[in-house]
Amino acid sequence: MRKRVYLSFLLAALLLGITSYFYSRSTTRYIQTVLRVQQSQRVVNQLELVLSLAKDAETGERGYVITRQEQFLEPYVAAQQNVQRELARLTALARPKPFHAARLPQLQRLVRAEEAFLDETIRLTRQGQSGAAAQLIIGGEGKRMLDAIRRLIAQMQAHERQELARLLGQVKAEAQFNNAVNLVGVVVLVMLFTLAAYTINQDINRQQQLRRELTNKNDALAQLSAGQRTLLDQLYEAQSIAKVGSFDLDANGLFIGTPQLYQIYGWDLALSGQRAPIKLLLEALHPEDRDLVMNAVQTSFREQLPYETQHRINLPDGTQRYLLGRGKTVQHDGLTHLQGTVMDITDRIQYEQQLQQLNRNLQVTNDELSTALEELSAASRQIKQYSAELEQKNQDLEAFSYSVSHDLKTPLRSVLSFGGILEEEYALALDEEGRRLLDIVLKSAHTMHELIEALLQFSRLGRTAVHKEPVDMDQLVRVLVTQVAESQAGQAGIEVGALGQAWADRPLIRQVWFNLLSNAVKFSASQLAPRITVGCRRQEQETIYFVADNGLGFNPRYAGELFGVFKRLPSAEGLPGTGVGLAICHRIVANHGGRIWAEGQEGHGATFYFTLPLHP
Amino acid sequence: MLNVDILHVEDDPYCVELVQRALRKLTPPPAYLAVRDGEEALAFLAGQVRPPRLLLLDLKLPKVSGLQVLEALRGNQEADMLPIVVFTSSQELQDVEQSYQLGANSYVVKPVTYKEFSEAVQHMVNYWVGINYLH
Repeated sequence: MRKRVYLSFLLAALLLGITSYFYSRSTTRYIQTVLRVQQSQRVVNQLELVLSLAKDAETGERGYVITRQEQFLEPYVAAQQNVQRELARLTALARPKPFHAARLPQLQRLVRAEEAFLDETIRLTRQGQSGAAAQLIIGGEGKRMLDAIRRLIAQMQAHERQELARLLGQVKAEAQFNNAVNLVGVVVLVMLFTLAAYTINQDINRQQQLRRELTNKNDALAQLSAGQRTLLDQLYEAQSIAKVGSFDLDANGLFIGTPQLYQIYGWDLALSGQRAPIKLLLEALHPEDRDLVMNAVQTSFREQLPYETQHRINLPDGTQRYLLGRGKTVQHDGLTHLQGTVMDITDRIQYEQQLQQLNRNLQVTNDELSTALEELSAASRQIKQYSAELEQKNQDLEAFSYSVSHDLKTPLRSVLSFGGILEEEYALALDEEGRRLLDIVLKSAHTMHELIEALLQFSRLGRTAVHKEPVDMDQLVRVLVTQVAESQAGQAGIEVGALGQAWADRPLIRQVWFNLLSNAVKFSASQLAPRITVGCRRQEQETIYFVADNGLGFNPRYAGELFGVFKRLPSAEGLPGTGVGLAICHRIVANHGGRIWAEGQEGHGATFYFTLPLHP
Repeated sequence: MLNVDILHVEDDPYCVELVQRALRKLTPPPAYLAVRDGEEALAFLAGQVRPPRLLLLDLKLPKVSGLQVLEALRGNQEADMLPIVVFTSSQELQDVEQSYQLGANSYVVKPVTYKEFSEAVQHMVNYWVGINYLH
């Protein structure tokens, strides 16, 4: 392409040189020819001038000869004055040419001869011999001489004109040749320049195309660069968010780190992005983790394998951080680089540590729990064992109660019944002492019967299911108070507060009230002004009912024993009762899910409390 | 062939004597027979053309218990109309319920004093045997 252009220009230059040479040469010749044409022309003209001067001289002479007036002599004088000079010029011009050179001396002679003739005639005229002068003229001497001049000049002119025509033809031919040379040169030049122009144009087009492409590429590059900046910003932002820093370590032990890396290591951010010695990284490592990390990095370099470490670093401010380091080797510019990242996992590690602590605590708690469970299980087994034993005892008690109800009652009935027959039908057969003794037998048998009945009732309670229903305690207690007051013939003033409704087994809870009220009446009967108060206090989950009296009271020492079977207070001696009533109350209340207890002082009355749950 | 108004199944002879004493006061005194256990009672009833007017039945008996006797008799159509009163010292609710379920007409707990005992026996006989007289 470029070669073609160079070649084109080279050829063009060569051609131009050749053309110029020919042109120059032909032009030189042409100029010489033209000069010769001019010279010829001048020769022709000079010949004409000489002839004209010769004519002027004759004309002036004739006018003077005819008129004898001086004024007609003027052309003659002027011609006389110039003719020699012009002749000299002509000689100078025409002498180089042999044709002229051969004729110039004759012309000079003829001119001088005519001059001499004319001078003679003028002189004759001036002397007044104009006739002679006219005779001379008429003689035709002068005319002949002029004609000879005229013929000679015509000859020379004709020759010169011939020469001129030839020169002109030569000039024309040369001019044509010049033109031809010019034309060829121009055409070839034009062709070459066209070729060159075409080539150059192509070249320019291609350059323009390249320039456009380059511009486009530059634009794209600029955009790419902007994009890269954005990407880098995004990378930094992402690293900041992820608490990740990255670095590039070369084989010379120099590294470049991102701002986030510097942030993680607590270094001056302004130094990020500059190569720094690896010593900086290694010095930050926790002494215990240094070998671990260095081994990992060295192995990675040696084996060209990725590595991953979890290690600690010490920050300049003395705090410690946990990092997750990852890296791998890459080839860059023929050198091995290590590209690594570190992630700040301090938070995670701390959470894990807290979690581990919690887990340990949990483990301890678990162990304790498991121990407690074992103990509980053992206790449970023991309770089961106790329960089984209790169950067995209960069954024994049931069996005992059943046999009591039949086997004990049968002979007892015999005692009572036959004693009764004796008392009824044979009273008269006995004396007073006999009747007294029989009375003792019957009373004792009755007491025994009551005890047996109480015991049976108590035993039955253990086997009876509790059927709870809403019970109007006010009404229930009101009726009982009347009954108790009648049966016990008590004088007691019984004061009953509002009791409301309860969830209870009606017959069983009636038994409780009956027993407690009977006891209160019984134990206060000896008082001058027996007073009994009944009421309740409603709690959150239960209602506490109470029966208080101002009777004999009891020693608080015995408060726990009151509710046992056949437990009777020393103060109750001499009073009727079996010692089972409070045990029955205790059993019923317990079967209802409530509690029962007593407060009192000897001689200052007693208060019996029992609770019932508010809900069934 | 005995003509028996009241058959008493009772293993306690003192109890039998008390019943007899109570019946003696009735006019005319009903024909009374006591057997000692359920087996004897069932055997006697099986041999009778005319059933007694009242069966007094104790529960706790040797060999065949009172409840077994009840069960046997109430499964027999011939004895279907026989009034059976359970007369026992048991006050167990379970005994009461089972007796009625097996077809007892009444359940009377033996009173412990002679006065109440004889009154109870006399009232029972008046009620059950008296009604039977109308047939």
